Amino acid sequence: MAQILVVDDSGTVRDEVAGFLKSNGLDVVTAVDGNDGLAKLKADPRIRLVVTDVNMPNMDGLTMAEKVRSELGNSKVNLIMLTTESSANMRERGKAAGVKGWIVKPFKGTAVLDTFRKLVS
Amino acid sequence: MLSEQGKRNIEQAFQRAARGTVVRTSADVCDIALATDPQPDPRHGQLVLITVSSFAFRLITIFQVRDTPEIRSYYLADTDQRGIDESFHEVANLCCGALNREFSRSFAHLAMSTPYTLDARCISYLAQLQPQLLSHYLITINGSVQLRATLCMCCTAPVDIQLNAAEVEQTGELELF
Repeated sequence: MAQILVVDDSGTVRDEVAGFLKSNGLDVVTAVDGNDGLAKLKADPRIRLVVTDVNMPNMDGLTMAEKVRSELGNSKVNLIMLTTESSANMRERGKAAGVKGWIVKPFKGTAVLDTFRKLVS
Repeated sequence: MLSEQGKRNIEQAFQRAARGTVVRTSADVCDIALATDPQPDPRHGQLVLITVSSFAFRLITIFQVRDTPEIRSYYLADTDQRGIDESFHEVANLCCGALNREFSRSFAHLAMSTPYTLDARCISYLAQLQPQLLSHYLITINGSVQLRATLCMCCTAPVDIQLNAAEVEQTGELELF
């Protein structure tokens, strides 16, 4: 079964997002920052969708997205940013890194569930 | 470096951001008033801070959150064992994120920190930063849940913050590229 990786330094957000997706039948793993996210992604080829925060300690979400493409050479996984940020500069950087979409927090699960299902199918 | 109108705009932007983010549901009533006492009580609780910075200013938004039964039952589930400061990090993140987006209309290069926690006694030293803006607020939710917030802004160049009161922000929607 395809997995979703939720990356956020906030335990509150990890619990909220992962809990919602799991309660809707999706398989979810979590990571606490970009470094952890990259490691989980390397270790588990079943991950098809990454939902990640931008501002995190150790490695931010945009840097992680760039490394997914450049270092892991993974062009198949879908990357979605879930963040309070919405600046044009960051969105452009995300697009250049191959990010598929952008959500401005707070997370509203019902608004994105159908799309998430399609992205992991 | 910061005009009176600029101060009013920043305070208004903060209050708008806080009203939309510190409440659990949109039905909750959030009252924000300037605190009559000059500083929060430094003897109790912890401070949750987030910094928004540009080339021209550094704005520290500080929430003083005490672990009271009212606050705990409002923000945490009964079974949640986390400290109130840890769970409040994301509330502060949402509030300052909204403030950051408001400021991004006026400033191209902004950066926001992750939330961090300090002992409440640190609040006594803010004046040492010689801020151009130092405002304290008492936030009351549903008449019973009370928090304190402080805005502390230091400028290194003239700062003019424009507000767009008419624009209603869309959040939670997935924008596909």
